[in-house]
Amino acid sequence: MIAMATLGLALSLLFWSLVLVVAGAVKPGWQMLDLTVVRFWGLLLAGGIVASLVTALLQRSRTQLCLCLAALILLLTTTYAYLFHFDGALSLAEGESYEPFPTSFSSGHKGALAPFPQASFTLTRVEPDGKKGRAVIVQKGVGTEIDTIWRSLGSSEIRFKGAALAPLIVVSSKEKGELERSYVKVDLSQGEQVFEFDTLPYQFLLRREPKGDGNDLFHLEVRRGKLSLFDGSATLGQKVAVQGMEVSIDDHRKFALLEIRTRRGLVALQAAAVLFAVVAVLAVVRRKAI
Amino acid sequence: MIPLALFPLASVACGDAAYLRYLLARAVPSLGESDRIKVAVTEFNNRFMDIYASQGDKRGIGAVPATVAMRHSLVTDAGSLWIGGQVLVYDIASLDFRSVKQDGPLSATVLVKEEWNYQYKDGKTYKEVGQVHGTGALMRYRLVQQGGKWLVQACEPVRGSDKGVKKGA
Repeated sequence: MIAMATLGLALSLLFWSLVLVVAGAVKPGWQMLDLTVVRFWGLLLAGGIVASLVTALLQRSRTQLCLCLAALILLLTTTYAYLFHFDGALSLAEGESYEPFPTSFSSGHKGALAPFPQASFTLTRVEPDGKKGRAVIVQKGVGTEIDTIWRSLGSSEIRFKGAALAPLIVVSSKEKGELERSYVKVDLSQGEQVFEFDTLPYQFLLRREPKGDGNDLFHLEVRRGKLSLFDGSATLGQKVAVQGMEVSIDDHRKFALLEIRTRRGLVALQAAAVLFAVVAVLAVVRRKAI
Repeated sequence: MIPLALFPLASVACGDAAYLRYLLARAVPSLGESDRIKVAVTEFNNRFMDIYASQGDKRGIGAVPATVAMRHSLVTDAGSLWIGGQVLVYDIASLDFRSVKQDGPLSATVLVKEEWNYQYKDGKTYKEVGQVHGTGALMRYRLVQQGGKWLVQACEPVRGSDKGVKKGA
């Protein structure tokens, strides 16, 4: 009875997971485990497996015992891998160093017990000597070329995702001088980019003009609330007047889009899945033989 | 069969009802979240208008259906206008919803053709500074669902619209 109820829980979880994935409500993998209901169901499942394990011991059913043990190992390794995994995307300009803080990452997924990757490195070059899809990082004085294949970085892994140009935006007013001067890490090769500064009430929309002289012609729009204050072309270094202020794109520099991940217990999880599959097949074969 | 039926109930109890509603909307489009999303965008714009019409009074900012970052952006804008000695008064002329698309259980994108009238007023005397102008734009709103409510996360113009065209009141 307990074993059947546990099987029902497992099948129900499998069914609803498939429905959610097929409908596009969640992506398969860690995102599924982010759902509170899936975690709750996992707890129920763990309880059911432990109860089934005790029942198997009392009834001296070897097949059920093996199945329950394999299922429990699979559940535990999945929990461990989920809690300690880390996936993150970040961008570094040439000369910038990685810092293991949440603000370093633009997006990602972090297990509840996973630390931010503690590696220490500096990005020195993006696409060195014109080699596309590569960047150079320096760790403890040793330079390493990374590409789109995952490479070891301490206990984590890193890979190069792409390169982009960050424009240097300068906003100044006659009375207050320079109000903002920062490289904005937006990828202008992906078309028009929208960005804001915390200190200013403006929204900037910037894209590269395709027919510029060289690569230095941009299309800039500056908005405030519902109003468009400036909408036109601007060359590199040109100051445009916007509501008593001046906005210019003074420079641009290359930056790299990187991905870092930490995968703990993944091999154990895969081994547990294989073990469970083998035990389940053997159990079915044995039942048919009887 | 019981665990199969219990899962949706557990979803609701665990606060994951949005996922079930999304599944339902995929099966029966009329049960979608379109109306709630439209209400959130309309409410956002009404509150936006109130903040400016009340001379930058930010007391109602907590009620704006927007994420914290978006609300901070509104405060920065209204605050800096006040500091500059002027307030900007907006008035919605029309909000025409062109499309409402739920990208996932917790996210949606809305395209709205907006028409606004606006005028600057003196921050102290509240006297009009300049004329009433009109502006229109096709805006893209990105919304997220948090705590069962739809909140505006980002708002940006869509290219190809007749933005910034001065039309008068």
